[in-house]
Amino acid sequence: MSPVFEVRDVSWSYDSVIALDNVSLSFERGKRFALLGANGSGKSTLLRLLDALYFPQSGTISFHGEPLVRERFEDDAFAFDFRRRVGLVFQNPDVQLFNPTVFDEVAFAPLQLRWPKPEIARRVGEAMELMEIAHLRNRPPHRLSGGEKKRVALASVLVLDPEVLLLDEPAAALDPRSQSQIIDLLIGWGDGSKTVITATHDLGLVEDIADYCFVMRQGQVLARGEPAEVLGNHALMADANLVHAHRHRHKEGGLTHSHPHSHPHRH
Amino acid sequence: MGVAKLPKAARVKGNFIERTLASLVSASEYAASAEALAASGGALQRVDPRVKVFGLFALIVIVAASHGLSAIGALFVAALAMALTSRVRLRRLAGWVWLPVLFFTGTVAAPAIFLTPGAPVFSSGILTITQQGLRSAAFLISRAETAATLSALLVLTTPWPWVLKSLRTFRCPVVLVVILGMTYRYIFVILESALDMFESRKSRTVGVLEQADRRRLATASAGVLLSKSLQLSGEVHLAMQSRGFRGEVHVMQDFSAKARDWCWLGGFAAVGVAAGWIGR
Amino acid sequence: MHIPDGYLSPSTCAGLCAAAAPFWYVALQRMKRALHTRLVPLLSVFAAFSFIVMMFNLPLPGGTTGHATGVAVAAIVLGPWASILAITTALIIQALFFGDGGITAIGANSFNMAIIGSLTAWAVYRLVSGRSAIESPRRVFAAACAGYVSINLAALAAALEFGIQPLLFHDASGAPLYAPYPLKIALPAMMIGHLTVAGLAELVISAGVVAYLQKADPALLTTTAPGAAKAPVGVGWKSTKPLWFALAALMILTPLGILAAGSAWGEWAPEDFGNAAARQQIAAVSGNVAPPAAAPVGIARLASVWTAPMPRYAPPFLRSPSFGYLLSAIAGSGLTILVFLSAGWASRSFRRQRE
Repeated sequence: MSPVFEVRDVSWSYDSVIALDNVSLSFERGKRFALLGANGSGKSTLLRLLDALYFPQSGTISFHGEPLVRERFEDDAFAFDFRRRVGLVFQNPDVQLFNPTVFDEVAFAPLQLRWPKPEIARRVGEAMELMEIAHLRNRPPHRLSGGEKKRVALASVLVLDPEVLLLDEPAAALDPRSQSQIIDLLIGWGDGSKTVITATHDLGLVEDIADYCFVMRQGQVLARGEPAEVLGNHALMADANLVHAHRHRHKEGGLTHSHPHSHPHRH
Repeated sequence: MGVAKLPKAARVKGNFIERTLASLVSASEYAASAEALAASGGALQRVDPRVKVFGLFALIVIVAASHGLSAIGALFVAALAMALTSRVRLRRLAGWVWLPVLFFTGTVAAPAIFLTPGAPVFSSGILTITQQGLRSAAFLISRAETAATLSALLVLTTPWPWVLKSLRTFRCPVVLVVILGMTYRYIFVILESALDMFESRKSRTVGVLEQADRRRLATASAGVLLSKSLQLSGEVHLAMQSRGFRGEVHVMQDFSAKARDWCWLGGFAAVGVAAGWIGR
Repeated sequence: MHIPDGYLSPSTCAGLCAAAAPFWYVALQRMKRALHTRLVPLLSVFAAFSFIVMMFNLPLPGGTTGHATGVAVAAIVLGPWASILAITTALIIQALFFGDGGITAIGANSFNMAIIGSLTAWAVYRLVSGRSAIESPRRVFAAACAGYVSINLAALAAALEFGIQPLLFHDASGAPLYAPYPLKIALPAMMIGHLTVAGLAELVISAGVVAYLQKADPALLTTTAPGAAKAPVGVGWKSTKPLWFALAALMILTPLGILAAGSAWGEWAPEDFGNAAARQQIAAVSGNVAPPAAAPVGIARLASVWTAPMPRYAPPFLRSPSFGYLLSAIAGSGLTILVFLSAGWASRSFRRQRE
């Protein structure tokens, strides 16, 4: 099976900070992947490169064998086709929700792709039903809770029925109930033909949402493998700054444990 | 003048942090109240937004053009009637519109009573009140109040995204409608940022700051917001591109005028023509 | 500075909309070409930022606080054309949704604040900053000048718009229909507030934000600094002292031209009502409505109050009327600023005494 994305020797830096340093990986079609890494490891940058929002300064990224370069995206037909097939859900929903109402938000992508209006109305309705946000149709984004915003963000991408779903920290800053709703949805979505690539530092999610992981640190791929073996490798996890060891109070006095803690923090 | 600078904010005791916070909070509360009112079921709420935009704007123009105080008065009464039937309580209108306008325009208009040349009505030593002075003050205040009431009615009975979309019907360029919609959307994001920033500074500020430090604090806050805003706009740009945006803007609306809306349109036209005729 | 509905006649409003339209058009075309897909998110978010900044209560020298529009900040960071669009957007939102500024006055407010404000702020900033380095204190000074000058020119435009209303628009009885004050009153009334509080607020925010960005994010200042020198070579604040003195002098002397212009047009002095030639002039300017035969009692009484030290702006011991204008203007504005600053000094020393 040919990979849906092939990343070869890609480097990308910004303002003299090296975000990605000569990374190579490939993503097979129909599988679910996790990019594991702490903040600053380059996983978000990689997602954006996969979504052709940035272009590599060296190396190549191919989508179904076709290299993604800036000039290619000047062709409307190619650009629209790519945008329909690949969807990215940003970490910060305020970035993704830029329309005045929920309906407008979900309808934005189909409108850009110039679908006929009756078709848009139908598909938007379906996407909103799927994400259980139909009752929020006319709500402005600032009147939505964190979980609702996330569901709208997902709906706005899923309305196109993409082949590839890229997710940047999908569960960050969500309350536990919303988190589990999102996870349930992601587990259920797709049926072997959809590829999901999730960037996260939350180790608790990984086993549920991924068949294969890449561990990243400081712009490089540290390790790759199936979730069980990667997560079980404590030294690796500590090296990638995904777990820490801290003292723990037991009845008989202190003991040091290493915990798979994630450190969500707001910028 | 305007809701964001209600006299209430000016009367808030305390330093510039607290007063800025008061302004931000009052704007946010006004927006929330307007959204709630627009979603409730009153007479105007049920009218097609395009009819409202056209009708209320037309009445505002007639108020502005009128040469007769009675015509302006009649339009004010019409505005009151619309407010009462649309669940807009007069006390709220007084707080949001009538008092701030009176405070501002009243202060501007008051000296005109003495300074305008014309037939004297009352004289006391050096100060003389003229008939023309009284009339001109009356024009200024009544026009400001009526126009402000009509424009508040539009916003209090129509969800703001629909007001914007209606503008398309009147040949407003799509790019402007989209920019206005996105600006309105991000006002609340930046408002949150500003509120967080000022709340945390308020709690951390112990004692009285020196003048220069206060200025630095205020301008640095503006600077931080500026940087954050520009960074946000870059991210939004990426998000838009990710969903297929290539420079063309589109807006989708599904307003459909019913018989009732045509009646309202007729009503606006009738009132407008009558007032225009009286005040010509 | 936001003009509400009812202060300007519909024809004035329409005229100003027409005057603004070419600027809006040119700005949009240029920005579409320059920014492409970035246009919509950049203008929207910046307009939202401007909206919020207009709500800031800024502490000013002298102890008061004031509000600024931030138009010079927009012009310096985005360039004049994008600034025109962003500030216009913020003004439209303020007028439509928050009742700040009239709906019929959107064209007028945009013309004054967004267009005149942006273009003059940018011009002054470029002129004063020259090719100095991005981090140079001279740029902070340039921003201060840009803020002060631009808001005062915007206020001047508004004052002129107000001042012509009673001349052109009144009802059958002669009562002004819109802004009721002639130029002689409208100009000083608008300008005194802006030369002091509003101008200082604009100065403070413009200088303050540029100073902040120089340290925190200098890349944001590069749009309006083509040809800027590299890192400053020993340029410190001491060398900008003479510039600040020059600005202070400018602030005190600027009113002279303005007041001189205002007093030349639309005066209603009691003697003019008796003089046939003057009556003809007044009639012509006032839409051919004949002025009353004798000076209205009110005007005569009011005039005598003002005659005390400076009759018709010409002190008796000076032959030349223009020198009289000059002196009066300097005296008037200098007095204002003096009063203003002493109030601040007094409150500060009072506070210190209490400690």
